[in-house]
Amino acid sequence: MDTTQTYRVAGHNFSVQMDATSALWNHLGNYAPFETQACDEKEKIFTLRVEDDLQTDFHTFSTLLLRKDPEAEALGLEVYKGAQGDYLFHLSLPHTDGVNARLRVSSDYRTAAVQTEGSEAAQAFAFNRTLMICYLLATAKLDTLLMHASAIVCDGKGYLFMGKSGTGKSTHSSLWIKYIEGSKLMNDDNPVIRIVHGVPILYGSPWSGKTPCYRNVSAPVGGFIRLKQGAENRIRRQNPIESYASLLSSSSGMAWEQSLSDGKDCALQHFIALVPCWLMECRPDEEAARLCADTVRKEEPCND
Amino acid sequence: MKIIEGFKLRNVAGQTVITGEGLKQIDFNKLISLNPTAAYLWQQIEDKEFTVETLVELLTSHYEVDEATARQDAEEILQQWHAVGLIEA
Repeated sequence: MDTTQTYRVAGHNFSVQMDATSALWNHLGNYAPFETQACDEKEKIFTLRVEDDLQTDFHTFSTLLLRKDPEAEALGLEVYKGAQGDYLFHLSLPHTDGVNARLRVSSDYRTAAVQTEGSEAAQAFAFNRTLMICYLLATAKLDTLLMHASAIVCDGKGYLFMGKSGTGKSTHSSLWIKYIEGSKLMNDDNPVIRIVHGVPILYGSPWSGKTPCYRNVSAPVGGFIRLKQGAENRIRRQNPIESYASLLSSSSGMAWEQSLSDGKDCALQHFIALVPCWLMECRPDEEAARLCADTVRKEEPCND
Repeated sequence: MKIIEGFKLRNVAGQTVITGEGLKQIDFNKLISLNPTAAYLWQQIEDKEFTVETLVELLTSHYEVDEATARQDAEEILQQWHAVGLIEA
């Protein structure tokens, strides 16, 4: 007997459907804060169904679009395009043999089906990533971006700290929490940003990397801060091109189709026009947090 | 030579930039800013086979510039584009 649960992330509803007894239900704790009431199909961006016997005829999915082999930390991914314009994804965890999730997504990204394999933990991990992919595809044209950032909320405004892995995004967040009164972690890895009626909003999400911080909260975006390690603490505004590049490199995207990359470009342009972007060179210390907070909180939203 | 597949010319806040967007450029994590001349050339040679001569001709016919200067500019631009991996032989 199938059960359906609907979730709402950044104001976008989606449903998960699977057998009521499936062990995967026990691994969706990070989604619990985002549970919402069942709603009409029209009000959902996608439905993902878990199947035991997913039909993925390889003759119809003959075009390989993309292949990335699994690496130390990164998931392996293969993407095929089918005759009907639908997609087939193969996800493989590092250090496992074979494919841990096979995901079929319709050409309009609204209907998805997945079959998971491997140990229970591997299946749960792959299923989580499957949901991220579905969300990414279904929101690509909706002025919505899944960011790679650590995000805090302070005095009702959201700030995103971005940068390469190992730069100290989480560290900088924790410095704000420690030294800047009124600041709280919103999400430590993959917050969502979205333009709602012309206002840029930051949302918590069920995806937060190694920090279990799955908060269903939102706040208007106050600033995007790109972090770089430095000997001194220094901060400056980025010009529009730098801002665009900064957001582009820190947002997830599956830009293999013109319509998907056009959607992303549109969202990026909206955000850089509305929100100040900064480049901060910093040490992991109290002064860095204070300099950053003093600078970015003073700034009024962009007017250009 | 020709432009490698998967690049797209975009306008960001009034400036022309190149982003890597196609599947072939899924790992191209850069944004290349083009001045108006470079942007003009790019638009003319997109999806085409071209040589240094093509660029020299485009420059001399579109701008008030002598051939020697045009050739120097064309070679410089091609060198830059080649260095960041935008074109192939």
